[in-house]
Amino acid sequence: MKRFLFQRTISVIITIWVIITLTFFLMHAIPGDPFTNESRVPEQVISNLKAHYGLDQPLIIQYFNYLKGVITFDFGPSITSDTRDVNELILDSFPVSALLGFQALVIATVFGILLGITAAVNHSGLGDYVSMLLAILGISVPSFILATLLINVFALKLEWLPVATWGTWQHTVLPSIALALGPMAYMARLTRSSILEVIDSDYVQTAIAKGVTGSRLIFKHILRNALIPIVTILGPIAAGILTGSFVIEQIFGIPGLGKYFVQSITDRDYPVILGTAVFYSSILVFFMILVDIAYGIIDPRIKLTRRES
Amino acid sequence: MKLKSRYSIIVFLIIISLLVTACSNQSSGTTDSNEQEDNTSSTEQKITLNAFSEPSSIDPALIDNQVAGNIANQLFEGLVRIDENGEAAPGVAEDWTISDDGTVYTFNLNPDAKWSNGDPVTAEDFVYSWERTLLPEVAAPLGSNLFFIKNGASYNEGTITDPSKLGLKAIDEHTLEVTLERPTPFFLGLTAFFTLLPINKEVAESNPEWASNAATFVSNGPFKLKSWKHDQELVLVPNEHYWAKDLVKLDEINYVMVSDQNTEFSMFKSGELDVASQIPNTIKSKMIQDGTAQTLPSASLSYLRFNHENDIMKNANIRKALSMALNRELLTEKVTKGGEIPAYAFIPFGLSSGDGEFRKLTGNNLYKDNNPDKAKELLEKGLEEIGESELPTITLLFYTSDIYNQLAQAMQEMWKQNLGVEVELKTMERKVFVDNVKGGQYQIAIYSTGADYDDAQNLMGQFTTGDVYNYSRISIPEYDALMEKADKELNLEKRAQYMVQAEKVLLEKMAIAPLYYRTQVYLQQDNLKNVHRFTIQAVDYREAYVE
Repeated sequence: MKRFLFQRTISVIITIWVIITLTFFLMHAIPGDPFTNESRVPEQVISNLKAHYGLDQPLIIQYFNYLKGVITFDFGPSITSDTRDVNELILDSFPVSALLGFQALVIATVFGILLGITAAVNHSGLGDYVSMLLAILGISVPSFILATLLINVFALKLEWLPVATWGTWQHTVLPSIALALGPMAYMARLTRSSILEVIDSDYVQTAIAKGVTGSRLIFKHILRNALIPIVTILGPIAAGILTGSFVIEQIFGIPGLGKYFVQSITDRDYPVILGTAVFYSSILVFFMILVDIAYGIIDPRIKLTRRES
Repeated sequence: MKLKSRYSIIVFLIIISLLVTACSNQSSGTTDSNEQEDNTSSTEQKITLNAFSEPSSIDPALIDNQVAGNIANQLFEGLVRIDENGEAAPGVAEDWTISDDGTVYTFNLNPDAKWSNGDPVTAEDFVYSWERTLLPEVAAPLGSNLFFIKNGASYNEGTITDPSKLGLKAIDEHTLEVTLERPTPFFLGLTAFFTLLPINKEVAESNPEWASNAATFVSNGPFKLKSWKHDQELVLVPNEHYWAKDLVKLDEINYVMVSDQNTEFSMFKSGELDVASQIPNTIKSKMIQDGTAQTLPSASLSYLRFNHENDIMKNANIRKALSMALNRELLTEKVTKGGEIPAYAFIPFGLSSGDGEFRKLTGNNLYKDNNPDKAKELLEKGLEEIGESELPTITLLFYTSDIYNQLAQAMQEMWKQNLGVEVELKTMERKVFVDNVKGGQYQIAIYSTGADYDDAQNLMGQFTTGDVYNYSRISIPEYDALMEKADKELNLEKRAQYMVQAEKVLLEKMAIAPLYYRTQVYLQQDNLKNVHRFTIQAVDYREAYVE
């Protein structure tokens, strides 16, 4: 385990360095800079601004300065916001996205697995068709359409919930649902197919022959093995969903991290582009490691091979 | 089979029960402000506005956009305020005198003017604030608004480093003397503009981070900053030290940050917002027609830029032909549909000439369009002049946006129908587009421009030969001469007339082809009263109240 973690840490550092380097040179290759716009701003003001943010130095010097900052966990100032640097910006907005993402993840996992089970147990029956219809809808309806629909029904027509912004738990309900639908549908389909695969295996047939039935059969014998593919995709899905969604945050006016992934590129806010890229890759890598560890816990066969050796 | 049905029932029950619990407690949770108000005897003086997104700063020197400017306008007060008729009225300055040659302004400050921490507002505060805005290392994005002050531009460039050379002097605690480079008729009104709002010298010197959060934020306007949750909301409450605090009726202004236009509109409908200014395009024109949405000129326009260094576009007749083949009325009515006004001149409505509103001096009919026969004639003539038998394919450049995509396609069709000319469309991301235009990498481009201060000169300067913003590479000696005369003229009436003539010269040659004047379109709840809105100056909520 120790050796595994050490090796992973080294590869993580190399991965993130490669990401920083690629992102850095790619973003500087895009035409335009943070101060390019149609308004009539004198050249001298622009050069003052560039000097202020150190953008007047040669690119390679900027690159090494940035790496120096990253080593000390200082991601520099945000160019578009004069009030916060990138660290503050991520610290302010990530908890919001993470809370929303966590709620959505719970909804997606619980309902996704339940729908998947329903479909698999009623294989080719009514339950299967209804569940899979929901799943197809979930995959094919874009989240912004669903979000608009939810706002129209629950906020404008029924007036149960606020339209947008952030603050109380009521504000989190609609965006969580809108965010959860896609992953939920994906998980439902995956659960269904992997359960159908497991149901035919010898040990399940044996269990049925021994007279194990109902929920005990499903949860103890079938689900444990069927969960492996779900755990595999849970890593990247969690990383994606916890760091926020540009579309959902824009529609619901949520102060999360998601919008910065897109907004920073539009604004050419170099430090924020890099900061969010590094942050996202770190989270993604972290979840990948968690998934690797979870395999060992869930899959009895992995333990078996260990015992034999 | 038994297993299946029992299991389905369990799952079904779980889902139903979860849904029921999720929905049951919610009606008590959200409060509809209207319902609440019926229960209270007096109306709550609280409004919610939209700031769209986190303001990059609300330190006047660092603000670079109208939305943050609107917020600063409630928090701070400049030397003058703009009253509802658009005239300069006392702000921090009680009164002022202007020297005969129009270059020295002496402002007498109101001794009752105070900062939100109780300090008096002094002439020294203004000197400090404006010097700071001009400092190169402060990198104020709209610092050029202070270049009218003597040596302002040189100081910002760094060629003059001694601040005492600037035309700024605190004669005593309550007397400020400002000397200008040259007579500038619009300077008085400009002192109300957000870049020229003062900050507290002592506070700013002792804490450079003062403007980053509410706890340390000090301002001198009708309102002060109570809280600022980044990316989420700003809350303003009345400033009890404000010299005219009796005029302030609102108890709270809450700025939320919602960038999506459909969401903003939904929030307005549900009563969560008191003002909305981004109406979805599908219903915009209908709402303008039935009076639910209000409109106001916005001192900006969209126009076609021609690249005068391009072999084809430098020909005036071809430019005129392209302009004449368009039907601007159709474009605004059927395509843009946001209350835009077809432009048959260049300077937009609502912009001053220094001698009254510019458009009132000369009307909005300097040329005609939608005339295919005349346009074809002009095109023939132009082609002869450049020695071509037919027009090579030309490219129209624009940046990607819903409106411009539709506008470009409509114009492409008009040019094809009315002139038989093929125009290729090329769209790109906004900053890349601006880069291309600045570098002269285009033939025709859809561009928009707006005034920073209330004077036509602000928009006309960019077409003089060699001007840094002359991305069209226009060079019309007659135009240059008229603009130079206008610059030097002290008599406002004559000055305005020079500019009127200059505009005519510009459009006779169709150096650019104006398309439409833009408008501000907004929705306001019926019970919100006494909000003052202007063409250029930021919105004023000082005396606003809820009925």
